Amino acid sequence: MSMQNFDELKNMWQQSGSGNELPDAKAVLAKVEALRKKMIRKNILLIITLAFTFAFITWIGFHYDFELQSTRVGIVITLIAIVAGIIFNTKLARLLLKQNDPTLSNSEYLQQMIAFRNSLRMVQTKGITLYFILLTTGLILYMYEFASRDLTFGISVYSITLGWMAFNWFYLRKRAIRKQEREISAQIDALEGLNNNLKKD
Amino acid sequence: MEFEEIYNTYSPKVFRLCLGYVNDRDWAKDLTQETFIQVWQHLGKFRNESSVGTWIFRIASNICLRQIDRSSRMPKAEVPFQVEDKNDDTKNEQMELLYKCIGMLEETDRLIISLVLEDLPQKEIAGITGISEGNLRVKIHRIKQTLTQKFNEHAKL
Repeated sequence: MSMQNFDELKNMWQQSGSGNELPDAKAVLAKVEALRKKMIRKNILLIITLAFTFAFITWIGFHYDFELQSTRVGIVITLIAIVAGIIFNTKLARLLLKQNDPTLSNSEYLQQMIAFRNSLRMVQTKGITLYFILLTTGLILYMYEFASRDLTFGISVYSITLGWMAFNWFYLRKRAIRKQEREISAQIDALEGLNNNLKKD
Repeated sequence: MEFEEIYNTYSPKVFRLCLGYVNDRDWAKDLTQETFIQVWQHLGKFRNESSVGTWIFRIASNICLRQIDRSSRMPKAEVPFQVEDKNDDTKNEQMELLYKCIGMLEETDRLIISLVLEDLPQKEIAGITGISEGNLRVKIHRIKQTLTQKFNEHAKL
């Protein structure tokens, strides 16, 4: 095979192609439409879920006759923690944050992706901490009414719950944060690698 | 310009760019489709400040860069290139070798050289990548040399 110069490679490149593998424009447009509908369905589902949750919280608050207000407040806080937990665990956090703009130049786009991941990292770390604080506070308040009726029962239930919460706080929370930290750090490193390669001569 | 017209003109070019980047035909097809979905969604934002081709290449190259989400960095050098079953003729072999050699470059270099191979002016490539023209000229010179050298080395084997 003879030596090729760059122009010959260019010719070869421009002759290469997809063959007939690519779908036609209509198929792409159909996909756009399907995606749009899926997004709408997702949003509707989200709104319905949130509406039901709030209806449920309100219903519990008014339906049962608790002696203490703390019980009611406890239930509400616990439920808020659970809903917030679901939101953060279902990548919804990503959707809530600003999406990247693909029409920027490569270098701007990479910087935007890095900035996005940095803010995601902050939101997730704070989110996990907030989740545990809310859940613990909610449960402590909720249990107070029942625990206060019987001292022995109260002490044992509180020790078990608080012990469990301490385990969560010092072990599970740290582990969850470490895991997310690892994933996002790896992505940021990779993006910064790309950006550095782009910048160097 | 109608979407269909844009698609018919640019989808083969975008496909080549993506194929050079990921070295996998199915993946490249997905990326091409993803690019044109984005093109459709952002078409209203296109203001003729650059040619529509430049604008599309910007989106396509960003979609490629975004693949970092799907896997950690694209494997370099030992890219397990998909050899098609019935490719006995030299022309196809050479084409595959070309894509394979592009796959051996750094990710961002793959994008730059694809744009050069598409015959885009350096000014436009600078606008797509966000690199200064001076820096780009040096880069292009180096990548061209590396690619031609790699190609000839492997073609001899």
